[in-house]
Amino acid sequence: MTRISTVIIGAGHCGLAMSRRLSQRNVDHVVLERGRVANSWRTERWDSLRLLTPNWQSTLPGDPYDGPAPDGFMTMPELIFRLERYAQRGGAPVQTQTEVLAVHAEASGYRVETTRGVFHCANVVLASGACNIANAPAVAAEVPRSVQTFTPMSYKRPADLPNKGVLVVGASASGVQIAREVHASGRPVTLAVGEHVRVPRSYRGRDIQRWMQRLGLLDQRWDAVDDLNRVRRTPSLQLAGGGLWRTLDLNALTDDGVRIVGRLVGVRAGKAQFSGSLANMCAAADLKMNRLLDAIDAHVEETVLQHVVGPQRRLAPTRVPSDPLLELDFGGEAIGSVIWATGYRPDYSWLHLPVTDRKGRLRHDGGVLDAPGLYAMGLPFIRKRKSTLITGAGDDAAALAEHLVARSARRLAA
Amino acid sequence: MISNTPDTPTADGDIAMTAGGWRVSTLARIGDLVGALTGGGRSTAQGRDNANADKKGNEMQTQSIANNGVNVEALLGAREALTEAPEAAMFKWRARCEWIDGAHSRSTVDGFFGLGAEQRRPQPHVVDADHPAEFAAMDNGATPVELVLSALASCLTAGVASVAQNRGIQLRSVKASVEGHMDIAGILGIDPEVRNGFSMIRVHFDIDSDATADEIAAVVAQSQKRSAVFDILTNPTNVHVQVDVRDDVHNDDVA
Ligand SMILES: Cc1cc2nc3c(=O)[nH]c(=O)nc-3n(C[C@H](O)[C@H](O)[C@H](O)COP(=O)(O)OP(=O)(O)OC[C@H]3O[C@@H](n4cnc5c(N)ncnc54)[C@H](O)[C@@H]3O)c2cc1C
Repeated sequence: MTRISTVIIGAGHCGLAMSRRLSQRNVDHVVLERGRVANSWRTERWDSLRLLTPNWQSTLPGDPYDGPAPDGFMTMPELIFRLERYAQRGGAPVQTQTEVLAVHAEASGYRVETTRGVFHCANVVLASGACNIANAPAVAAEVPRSVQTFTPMSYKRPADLPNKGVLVVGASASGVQIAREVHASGRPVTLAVGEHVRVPRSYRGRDIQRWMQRLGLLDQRWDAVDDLNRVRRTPSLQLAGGGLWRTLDLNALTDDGVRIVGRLVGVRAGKAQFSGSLANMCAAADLKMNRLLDAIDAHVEETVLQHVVGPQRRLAPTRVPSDPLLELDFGGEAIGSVIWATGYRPDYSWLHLPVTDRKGRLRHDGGVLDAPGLYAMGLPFIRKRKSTLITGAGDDAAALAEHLVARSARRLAA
Repeated sequence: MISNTPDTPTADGDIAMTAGGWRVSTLARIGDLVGALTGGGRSTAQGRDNANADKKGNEMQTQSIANNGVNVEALLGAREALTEAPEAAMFKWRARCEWIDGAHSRSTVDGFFGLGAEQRRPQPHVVDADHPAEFAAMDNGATPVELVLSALASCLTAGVASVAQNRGIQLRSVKASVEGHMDIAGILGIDPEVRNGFSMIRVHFDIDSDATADEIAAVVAQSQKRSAVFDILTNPTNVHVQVDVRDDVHNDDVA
């Protein structure tokens, strides 16, 4: 049994950033990690993955990018190396191979049960990740047994898939990246496209992330957006790292020969059924993209950057097939596997506290939960648009650490 | 928010309803409403330009600019209330239909279930359906497939009005024409490869407003995104059909 002020659950970048912030404030804490530092990046990603945020941006507090390629995109081994080095340099008190099995409230705070004993603490920081479980729609159960199913967490490389056609469901970052490499391996890909966020990799000669930062979009706060639920549900940007400046959108995939179809809405009698809404999904994504680019143009005008940046070259509208496929026969079309790239969700099954809504999502105000001394990090737009990115952890950890320290001081005073 | 909404029916289609102790006075086009309140538009763009702007102020300003006859405030109230009371959002829509003669039938629509209770309109609505003379019928009404097209057009049009209202866009006129393509070799059983239903539906909107072409395109996109009929037509739905066989002899026995 250990008594400690604060337990951080998870040694991903969020847990490490929080540890750094707490150390700076002399808060006694431990970081409990079920695997090793950067466990998600080691065990839950596919081989070829690179970050979609550029190196200059993928940084943690006190650790700016000092490598040779600020505009490049890190591979998983590079990222794991950097996170390990960060933990070591900061002397983060990480206890690895320690899985949290249950968190309960008790009189003076929380009881954290792990595979290596029990911790009693006043504060708990949930930094256990936003992507513990890959979502699959209910219709997944109807897919014929002969078809293998994967998620972006179980998929590692094309060679693991049957040498047949592949249906990739979902066209956000994970889906488009996997669709491209699987199709390139000679397995013909059909990509089911629902709501997605299209952006060019770069615009007017600058990476899109550079513009998002410059326009202040990444720093937009949760309490200053019009519809928080909607922005929190917004899928990841249709982006890929690597292939510098290369846009990976539906047009690029169509050029590769990937077949684009509507959202998967049913599986019946051995056939997948797709929505007839593809044209609208693409039109809406094009409109939103152009609104963002308009905002960039306006910013260029205002700040008189016209002579510094490139021309206003826009991506062509998404080419939608004139008669998108509505039905796909798994047997007839020789589909050997389905990859559900339909988003991720966190797993709080071990959190035995009344802090979730009826859909199991955490109820929180900017990462401060409805239970004293309980905090969360790393979820989409938890405090800012960038909260979901590595670069967002520094600010969020600082704000929440500040809250935690102020609360502890009040408790002592009382 | 709910108690601020007017208690008496006002705009077209408004219905006063009470459910479980709380009151929602306007629930027109609830399917479209949710979308009307999301998605980037003028008002949200404004909000973005000034992250610290008073959001309430922006909305009010928006409402005073445009008037498309949509009570956005009540719809916002309904959305908020139904988020709190999800069971009240479970609706059952109904129609009754009776065969008259040949292809002619008459449907009646009056009650529905929603907001946790049975609801009834003051007056039923009656819709006749038939086939035209080309099908050797009496043409006493639109064909059922034309009613489907008209339902799609009405649903999208209502959506355009509410989304535009919420985004502060004043509409002057909105006209939709809808065309459904069909090879009737399917329904006539000539070719089993041909489906019975539409092979494709085309919607054309002609909209006169004070907004730019892109803003209108975004309104139309959003109205599709939140349209119940658009969803019904583009996505499959399980349909369960049950039959009660009336047998005179049995009826006599029972009686
Ligand atoms: C495919 C993919 C690509 C991404 N690409 C980018 C990108 O390009 N740029 C970028 O900035 N971000 C990217 N994101 C990452 C995203 O930033 C993070 O997923 C999110 O912000 C959460 O970070 P985290 O540190 O909270 O979670 P994680 O990195 O998942 O860390 C959580 C840690 O908690 C541990 N843990 C979980 N449960 C327990 C438990 N019960 N007991 C003990 N330990 C536990 C896990 O083992 C893990 O080490 C990507 C995510 C995914 C899934």
